[in-house]
Amino acid sequence: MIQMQWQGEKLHLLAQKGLFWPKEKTLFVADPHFGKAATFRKVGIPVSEHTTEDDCARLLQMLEKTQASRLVFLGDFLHARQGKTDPVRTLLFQWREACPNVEVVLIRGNHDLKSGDPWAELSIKCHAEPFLIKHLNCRHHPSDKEHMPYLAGHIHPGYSIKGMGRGSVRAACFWVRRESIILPAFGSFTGLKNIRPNPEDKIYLSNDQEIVEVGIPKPGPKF
Amino acid sequence: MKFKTGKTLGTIEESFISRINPKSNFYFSGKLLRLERVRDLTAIVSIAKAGKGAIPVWGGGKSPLSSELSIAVREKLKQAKTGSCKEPEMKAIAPTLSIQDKNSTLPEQHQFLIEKTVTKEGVNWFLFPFAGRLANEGLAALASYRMSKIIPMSLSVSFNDYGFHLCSNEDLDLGEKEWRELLNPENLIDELLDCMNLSEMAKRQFREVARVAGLIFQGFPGAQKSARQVQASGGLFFDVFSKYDPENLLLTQSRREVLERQLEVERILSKLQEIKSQDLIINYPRRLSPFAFPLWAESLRTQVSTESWGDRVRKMAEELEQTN
Repeated sequence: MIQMQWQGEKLHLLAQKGLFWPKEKTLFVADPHFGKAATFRKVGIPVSEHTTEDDCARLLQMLEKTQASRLVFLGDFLHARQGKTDPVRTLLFQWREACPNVEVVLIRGNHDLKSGDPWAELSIKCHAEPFLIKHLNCRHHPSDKEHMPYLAGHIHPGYSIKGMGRGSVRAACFWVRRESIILPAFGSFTGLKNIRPNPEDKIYLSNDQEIVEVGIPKPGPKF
Repeated sequence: MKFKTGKTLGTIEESFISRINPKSNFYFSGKLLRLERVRDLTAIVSIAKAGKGAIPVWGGGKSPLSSELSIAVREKLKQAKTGSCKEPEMKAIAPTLSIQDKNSTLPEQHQFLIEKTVTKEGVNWFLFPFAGRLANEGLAALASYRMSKIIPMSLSVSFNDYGFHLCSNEDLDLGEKEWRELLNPENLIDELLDCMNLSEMAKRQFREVARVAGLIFQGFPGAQKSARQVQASGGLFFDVFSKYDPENLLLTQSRREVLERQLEVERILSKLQEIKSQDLIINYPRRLSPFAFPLWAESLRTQVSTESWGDRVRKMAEELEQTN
């Protein structure tokens, strides 16, 4: 876990790809894409469904550790309508039963608009973006036009760092800018898109078990 | 690759086009083109007005050397050493070979050359078995695997027809005894299987397997690809399967294909036995030798690491701090 000061607030970046705001007792998670493996299976592509189990366990682990009273999904809760299968439903219901006292909010993302809101029994409050908590806006899509500091997801940020021995490691990351924080995609079965951060930004790489801050190389001379 | 109007130009390697920024230029089919955007697996381009551009290189030129040919190449090198270059090609390359002989060694048949050079990228070891590209890949995988078991370290590996290159982030003092140990033919098959799991060899092969199995749907020829929500890259499938479904038949298949097609176990074994009878020559050239340079410049590299993810990233982040 890494603690940081951002927009006058103390925030915790968790290795399990969540962001915790202690003052509001709120945990933020972006792009879980539940039911993505199930969607693939529906069209005949055999992908293991254990990803959902693992993701639910990771969510509970974070809620347990932070003692959060509110959980905000920054969009793309369900991957697609075809992914709303019985096994996925059962797993999500089990997850919800394990954390009944947590208020769960979903900021609808592009996938949620197509797949529809989650099952009512999960008692997840759905909102269109943006959704304001104190002075921080919760969004799915990052936006240049946003006037408030905001948290968002959507782009599944990834970053690769190079090192001695000509090695490189690519992983999901938190992308912290002055006006916004882009969260890594939470789901285990999600891809990455490489970002191009500015030197004043901050990058935190995570592999679900550990989180490490990495610097951004200064732009070198062009050849 | 298509023009905005929909006219198809041809196909290009995904890894190349992903390195080109939109609005930048590159050459393709004899034209200077500007990349507009990449959508799904189609790159939309337009004719660039002026400027320089990146040039793609076709990887198919890397077909492997056979063992007969590599024996012939060594024969030629021997001739070069004795100064009897008759053919125009050999005459052209003679100055380069003499630099190799002066700064390092031009190895003869009974010699096995190892070079170690430290550059700003790390510690570089170059080994020259002259076994052909495929067997060299296997030898490189084996040597890097055994080396990374000595201490936790991360290595990147490249190879060509003549030799292979291990570039590491840790320095090790390896003498003749240690190298004999690293190039020992014992336990070959077991260790090759282990190192295949550690390296990304199977991951590359998996892409092909996944395509044949229909995991990566490329769309019917000429038709628009539908169902965008069931798109995922071969790499993502590989990672998810390795973690959540390690017994997956497609993973087994790609491992088997690596073993059967790529690794040429027989040739690796006979090479290791040959090395056993050869004299090891370990040189420490201050700068990269002519033999080493193409291996050093090779961009297609695989990685082997026995460090934990966190240690590795923290080390890289620290190095970055020092250079910034």
